[in-house]
Amino acid sequence: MNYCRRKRKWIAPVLAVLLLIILANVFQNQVRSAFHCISNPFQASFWTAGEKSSDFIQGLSKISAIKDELDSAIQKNAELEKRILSLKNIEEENDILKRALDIDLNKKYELFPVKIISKNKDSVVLNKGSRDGLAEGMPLITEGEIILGKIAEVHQDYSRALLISDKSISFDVFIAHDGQEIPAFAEGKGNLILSLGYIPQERTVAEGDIILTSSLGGVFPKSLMVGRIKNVLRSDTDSFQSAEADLYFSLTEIKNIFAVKPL
Amino acid sequence: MIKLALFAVGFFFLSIFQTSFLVHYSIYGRVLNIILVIVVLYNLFESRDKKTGIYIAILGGFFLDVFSNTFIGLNIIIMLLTSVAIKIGLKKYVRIPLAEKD
Repeated sequence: MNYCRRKRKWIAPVLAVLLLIILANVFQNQVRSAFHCISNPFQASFWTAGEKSSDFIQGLSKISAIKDELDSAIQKNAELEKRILSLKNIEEENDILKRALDIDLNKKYELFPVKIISKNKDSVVLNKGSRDGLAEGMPLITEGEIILGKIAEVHQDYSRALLISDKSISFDVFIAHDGQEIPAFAEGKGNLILSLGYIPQERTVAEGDIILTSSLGGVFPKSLMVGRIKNVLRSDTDSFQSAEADLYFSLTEIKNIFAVKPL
Repeated sequence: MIKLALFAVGFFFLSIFQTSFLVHYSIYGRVLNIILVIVVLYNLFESRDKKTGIYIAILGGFFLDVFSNTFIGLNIIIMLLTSVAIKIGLKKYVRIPLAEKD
């Protein structure tokens, strides 16, 4: 009797649950949509919060991997920047060479575009060396055929050049005066000063006359622009005249420089 | 009755939390079932003679079913069976003195 009563006690709740399940399944669309309708705003916020927080936590757990990736990206970026810089230099050189082609410079010389990377008194350091084909004694000129100096030391990746105003530089020039070529001898005096000597007494030279290189001494190719006569020093007791010259080049204004090898 | 209503509201939000928030923290594709944990704990620490744990299991199962893709009833049955199993187990084989207040 007790067993039956106990059994009956359980039957009602079990049946109720079964009925609930059956009804919920029969009307499951309505039941679900009703609950989703209420829960949608909460679900959206929970989803967003979960997404953000899990991203953050995943980020934290992968922080060392991310750091490695960042380091490698920075390194790659630096390499690419270096490459871009080198390509820019090549582009610039190409432009310079194209312009040089227009003025027929390359018909007279084999051109090696260089850049000044430092200056010390009357010597400069160039960005190219023997690896790029530079050699000792090569003249340095601008695209306007103005002489700057000559290469004195050549290393694998850089070179040192002496400007024509350096005290150790001397070379033959001629002064163009009224269609005449008057020979002279140029000597560097340091601090971008160039003096001319051995100008024959009987020849007339004047302020503003153009000074050009002569191939006589074999130091520089012929007819490169050196400068203009600044003042002439004439003395009756001396057998030669002398003069001071203004150089054509100004290192701060020069953009394109070539080391040249006469063809 | 008030207790059940509170549990109903709590389970409603917990099931949303479980299906919307905790899914982002699944481990090997498994999500922590907080409602099951609550049902188990409640039934473990409830007095052996009381039946609230069983009603709570039905409620929890119902809300889990509503927010899942399975037919409504699967989680109810699982929760109910778990709850009944705990009740029977506790009644027949285990004694937890601290849980037995009366």
